[in-house]
Amino acid sequence: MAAFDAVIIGGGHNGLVTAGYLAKAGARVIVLEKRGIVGGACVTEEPWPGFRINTFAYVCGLLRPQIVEDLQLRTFGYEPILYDPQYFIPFPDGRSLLLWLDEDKTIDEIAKFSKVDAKAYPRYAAFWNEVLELVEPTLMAPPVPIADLFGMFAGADAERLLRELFLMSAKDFLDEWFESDHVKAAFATQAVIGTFLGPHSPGTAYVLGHHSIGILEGRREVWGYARGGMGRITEAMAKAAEHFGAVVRTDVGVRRILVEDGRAVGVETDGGERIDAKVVASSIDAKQTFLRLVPPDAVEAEFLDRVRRIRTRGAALKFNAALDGLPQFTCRPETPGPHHRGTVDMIPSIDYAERAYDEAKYGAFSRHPLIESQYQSVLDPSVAPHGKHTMSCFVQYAPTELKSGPWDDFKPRAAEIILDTIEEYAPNIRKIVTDWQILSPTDFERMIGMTGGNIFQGDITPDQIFSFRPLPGWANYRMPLRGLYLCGSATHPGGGVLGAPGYNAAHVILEDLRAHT
Amino acid sequence: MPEGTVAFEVNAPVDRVWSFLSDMRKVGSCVPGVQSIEVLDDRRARWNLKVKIGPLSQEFVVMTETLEQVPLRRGQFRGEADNMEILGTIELSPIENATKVTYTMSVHSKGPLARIMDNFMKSKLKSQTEEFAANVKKALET
Repeated sequence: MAAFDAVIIGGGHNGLVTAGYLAKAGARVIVLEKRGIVGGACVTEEPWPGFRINTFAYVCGLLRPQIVEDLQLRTFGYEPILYDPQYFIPFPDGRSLLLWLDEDKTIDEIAKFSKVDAKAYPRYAAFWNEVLELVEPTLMAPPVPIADLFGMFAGADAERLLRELFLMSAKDFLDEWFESDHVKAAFATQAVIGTFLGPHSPGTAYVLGHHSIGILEGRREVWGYARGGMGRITEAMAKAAEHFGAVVRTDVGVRRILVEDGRAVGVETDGGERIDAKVVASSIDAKQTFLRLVPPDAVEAEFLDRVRRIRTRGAALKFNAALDGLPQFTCRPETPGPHHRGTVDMIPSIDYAERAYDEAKYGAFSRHPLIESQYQSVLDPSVAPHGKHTMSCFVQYAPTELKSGPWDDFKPRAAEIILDTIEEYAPNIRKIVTDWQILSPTDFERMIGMTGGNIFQGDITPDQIFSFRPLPGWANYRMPLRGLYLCGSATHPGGGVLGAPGYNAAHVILEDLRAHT
Repeated sequence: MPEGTVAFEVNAPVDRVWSFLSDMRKVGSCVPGVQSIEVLDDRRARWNLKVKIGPLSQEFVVMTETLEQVPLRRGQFRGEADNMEILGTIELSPIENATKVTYTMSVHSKGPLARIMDNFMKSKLKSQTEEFAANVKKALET
C-alpha cells in the first residue's frame, strides 16, 4: 500500500493549498519543495541582514478569501495590510496621479488631467466591479468551456463584454474609456504586467481584467502587503497543511515521476528516495512536469508537442534593493508621503510601454523599462532595520533570452538602466541604494522552475485561459497520465497568488480518491 | 447546496401575512428578478425570471409548485428551471399584532455549469433573501 494518498511536487502557494485541502479532508499528503524554504514564487528572504525582501511576488490581493478562511491562514500568521493610495504614478513632466481607495478622491485626482475622464471613472470602476461579479464564481471551480459560459447569456451586453475582454488591446480598450494619455497610462501597467505583450497587443484588456480580481478586507479590486512579507502567506499555508496532517519537506527536489502500468505511482527524489502515493499532483508548470519529470513514453508524443507550444515567455525581472532612505520624487517632494505607501508605477504613457516592448521583442532588455515598485517598509517596519527601507521593482520588459548574451553577465548593466530610469523621477535614488539584487528570467526558471521566467506558468492571454489552460481538453486538472494532476498556476484560473488552482485541483483529486476507495 | 435564510418582522397580523404569502402571484412578485407570473392551477405557476450576473443578464422560466401549506404557520414551494432547482420555505409566528417571517431559500444547480452557478448563488443568496424580505414588508406595511 502506498505510504501517501498524494505526493505534491512543489511547495509554492498552490501546492500548499492543494495539500491543505487534501489533508483537511483526511488524505495522507506529502509536499516536496526543492528549495530550503517553502513558497515558490511567494517567498520573503533576507539577502542583507534585517531586510526582508519579497524575492519574487510582492503584493497580495488576489488570494481568494475562502482559502484564507478554510485554511485558517490568519491563525497561522497571515495578516494583510491594505494600502492607500493604491497607486502613485509620477510623470516626467512633473505631474502625478494618485489612485485612492476612496473613489471621490480618485475622481478629484483624475479631474486634474481631464474632467471628462473624471466623469467616466465611476463607470469604469463599476464596469470592473460587475465583471468581477461575473468572473468570481468561475475562479473557484474547474473551468467550463468558454462557449458554454457565454452560451448562458445572449444579447448585446454579452457581445460587448466578449469583444472588450477577450479581443481588445488594453490601448484600444482604454481609448474607449478615457481621453487623457496620463490617465490611460495609469491603468495600463496592470494590462501588461508579467505578460510578454505590449499594451497595443490584442488580448491585453483581459490581462487588465485578471489584475482586477483582487479582494482584500472585503474590498474588491485592491492590493495590499502581507505583514512581514509575502513569505508569511506561504509559511501560513505550510503551517495550515501541517496542522491538518500533511508532511511538508524542503530541500527535496523531484528527479522523476514514477509510472507503473500506465499510472503515476509516486516520485523519485533528487536524492534517489522513492515516495509512493496513490496520486501525484504537480504544482510546477506543465513544461517542467511533462518535459522533465514524466518519462517521455508515458504520454503521447502529440500531447508533448502541445505542451512544448504553451507560451511561457518571460517578460520581466525583479530588482530588489535595500535603502538608506526613501526616494524623493521630483513631482511630490514630501518624503515620506502618502505616495510612498502603495504601488508606484513609472509609466509615462502607453506608447512608452509599447516601445519598451518593441525592444524586448527582438531580444533586448528595454532601455527605458516600465517599473512597478513598492516600499513596503513604509507601512510595515518589520521588513527593514530601523530607519531603513526596502524597495521592490518589477521591471519590464526582460525577455527570456537576451541576444547580447547570458542574463547573469547583463545584470550590472540592467541595474544601471533601472537606476537611470528611477533617477528621472527620484534623483536621490543612487544615494540611498545600499544593496541590490536582480532576479532575471533565467533566475526565475533556475530557482523556482518557472519555464522561461514566466511568472504565471504560462501567459494569461485569452487563448491560454479557462478551458484552454494548460491545454484544450486537459483543463480539469486531470492529466493524460492516470494518477497525475496539475495543481499550479499553469491551470485555471492562472497565475498570481490566488490559490484557486490549488483549491480546484484538490477538489478534483478528492473526487477521484473517493471514487477509488 | 447554497442556502440563504432571512428572518424579519412584518407589521401586520399573521392572518394577513399568511393570506399574502400563500398567494402564488403575490409571493412571486416579491422574489427578486421575477418579471411576470402565470398561475397554472391552484398549486402550480410559471415565473419568468431575469437574473443579472455582473454586466450580463439571463432569463429563466421557473415552474413552481406548492409542496406544503400549513395555514398561518408554514408554506413550502419548489421551483424548477433548466439546470436549477429552488426550494423555498416560509415560516410564520405571530408577535402581538406583528408577524415574524423566516424565509429560507436553497438552490441546487445541475449541468456543466453547476459549480459556477452554485458559487454565484452563494454570493447572491444573502442579498436575494434580504430583497425578498424588503419587498414583502413594503407590500404589507404600506
